[in-house]
Amino acid sequence: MKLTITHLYPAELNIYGDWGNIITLRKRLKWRGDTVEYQPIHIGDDYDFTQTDIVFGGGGQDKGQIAAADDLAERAPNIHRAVEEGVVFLTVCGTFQLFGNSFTTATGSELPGVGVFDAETAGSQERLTGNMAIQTRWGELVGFENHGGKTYLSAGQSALGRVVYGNGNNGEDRFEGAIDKNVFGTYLHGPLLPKNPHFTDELLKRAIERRGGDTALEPLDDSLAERAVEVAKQRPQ
Amino acid sequence: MLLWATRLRGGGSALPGLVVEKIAPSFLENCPDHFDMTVLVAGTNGKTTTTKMMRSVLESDGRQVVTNAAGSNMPRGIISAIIARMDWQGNLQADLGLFEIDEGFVGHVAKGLEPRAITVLNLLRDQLDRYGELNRTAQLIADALPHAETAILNADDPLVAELGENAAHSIYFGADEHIRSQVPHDGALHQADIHQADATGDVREMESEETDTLVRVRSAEAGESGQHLELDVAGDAWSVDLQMAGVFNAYNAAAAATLGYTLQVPGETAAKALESVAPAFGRSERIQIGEKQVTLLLVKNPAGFNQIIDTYLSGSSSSPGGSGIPTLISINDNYADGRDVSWLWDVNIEKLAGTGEFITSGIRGYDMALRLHYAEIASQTELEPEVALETLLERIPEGGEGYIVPTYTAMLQLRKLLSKYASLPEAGE
Repeated sequence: MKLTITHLYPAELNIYGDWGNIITLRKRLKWRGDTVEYQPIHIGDDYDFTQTDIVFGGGGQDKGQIAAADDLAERAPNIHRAVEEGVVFLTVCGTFQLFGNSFTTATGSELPGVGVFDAETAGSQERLTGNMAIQTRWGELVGFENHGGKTYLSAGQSALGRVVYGNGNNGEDRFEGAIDKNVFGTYLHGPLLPKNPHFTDELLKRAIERRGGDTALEPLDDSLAERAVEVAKQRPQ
Repeated sequence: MLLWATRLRGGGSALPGLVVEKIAPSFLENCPDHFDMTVLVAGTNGKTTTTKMMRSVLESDGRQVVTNAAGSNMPRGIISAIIARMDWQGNLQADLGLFEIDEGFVGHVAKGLEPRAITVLNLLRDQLDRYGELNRTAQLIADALPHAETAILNADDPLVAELGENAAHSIYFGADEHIRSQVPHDGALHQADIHQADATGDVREMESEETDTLVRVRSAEAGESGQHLELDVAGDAWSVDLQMAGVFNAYNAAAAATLGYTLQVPGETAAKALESVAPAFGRSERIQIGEKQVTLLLVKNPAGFNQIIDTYLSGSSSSPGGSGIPTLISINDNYADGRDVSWLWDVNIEKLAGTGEFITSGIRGYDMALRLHYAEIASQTELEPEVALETLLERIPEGGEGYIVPTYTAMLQLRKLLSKYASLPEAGE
């Protein structure tokens, strides 16, 4: 099977080891004999998101995020169509924030959101930083968070999981991330996918299923990830 | 009170500084009276090495220099260094203070010391769990520059070159294009699709603007254990046989040459002084253990690790090493290392395929093993430093060499263990 991985704004949003997520998606497909096409998307590029299989967007500095926000806002109708058609999106940190309704920066200016998640983010002076673990319906996910924005989900919006330790969306309500159809949002980087292969495979299964492929994925040796997670869970927050 | 604190002094310790910081918070502000001038060295990579080079250049001209011990670059480390050079009456036995300074404190220290010059080497992503964002780090330095008479800036790092706007007077150092292109700055480092050699993604060239430089590296050629540099210093040609390899060290030498020129150290004296500088503590420091040689290669962020790969580990034409050299990579996540190890995924680890045998160690040894695994490189993990070091030494053949690539606190641990096998200089010497 051939799958396309689309990387949103690798130049502007790439600050916290986001390459690890791309590498992990690519290698797990390759190791199972699938073909992968990698497609970076830069600001202003023409692109139809309904054509791809998995979209990844990471975190950035404020400057990069402002540039990305305007570009994403223009793509919102096309992104909504892709979401309806079941394209898999993994949005981390800055991109997660921009997939909500709006993002108000610490200095008070409001950035438009794509509005996939029913959520609002407000910048704050306090950064939420440290090791984090969350409980999801696919088991525990472990990583590191580092964000200035605090995200609040609306009553009808599902979270990705509940915080086991760390801060999550806002450090107050114990919710972490968001999920809608095949779109995932989270503050876990660390990066998320290499350390949590069961979750990576969940994303891959959903993408393969959409193309009518076999979702019984061949098991891979994930013993190193398991050991890395064991250590991460014992480290200070 | 100050005199009492001076009795607490001891080799490289920040304790006396800590005490003075508590009992006399204005200590630094009173310091300009004691010195003829001070010089600060800031930037994410190369502070310790550059400070060592600058010290050598200034001392070669007969200046009495006070400098802080390797890595003790917060205010208390600077205060400790100053106290250690005071006599029993509190008089300072030096005329010039030269301090490397952590980005988080550069504003505070610059305000107190009113430096003659602040040198900014580079701004590369480093310890983002402490400062949040690189632009924030740049802002911290920008806020410090108005307190200095002169800013000495790296023209080839766009984030640093931009800082000139904040300074009363700026002088730039840089390198010719063929050298500059080997040191990606932060924007280019992550823009280039480094992990996707087989992908069709386009790679965008970063536009680099030419800035007028006072000092320029014209050529850097790798030698047996260092490199030969040709520098243009305000129109004069300097030849320097540097004891340290790596393009980043060519830039560090250019920064030191710029300071030397600015403070009117004669060119020939300064060039000789640069040649006499041995690698700093843990920074490409070679240690001989019987017939075996081990090189300590400190890493702390993606840019630094990539430079170590290109200069030593990858076995490329300019690297003295190459295939089959046993390598121990030891990753800790203590506060001084940075709590977040995500940066390992931004390192060009894929370039290490087929170059050596890898042992991973440190608190986050399994994270490193996992990173290697996704680059399809096998490794053996020994979390305990003692076991990891023994494994490395066993794998080095008699007369052969090995590499240790540690984060900061892992370097301190391993160096201490190595001192059982070889006599090593103390930190900061």
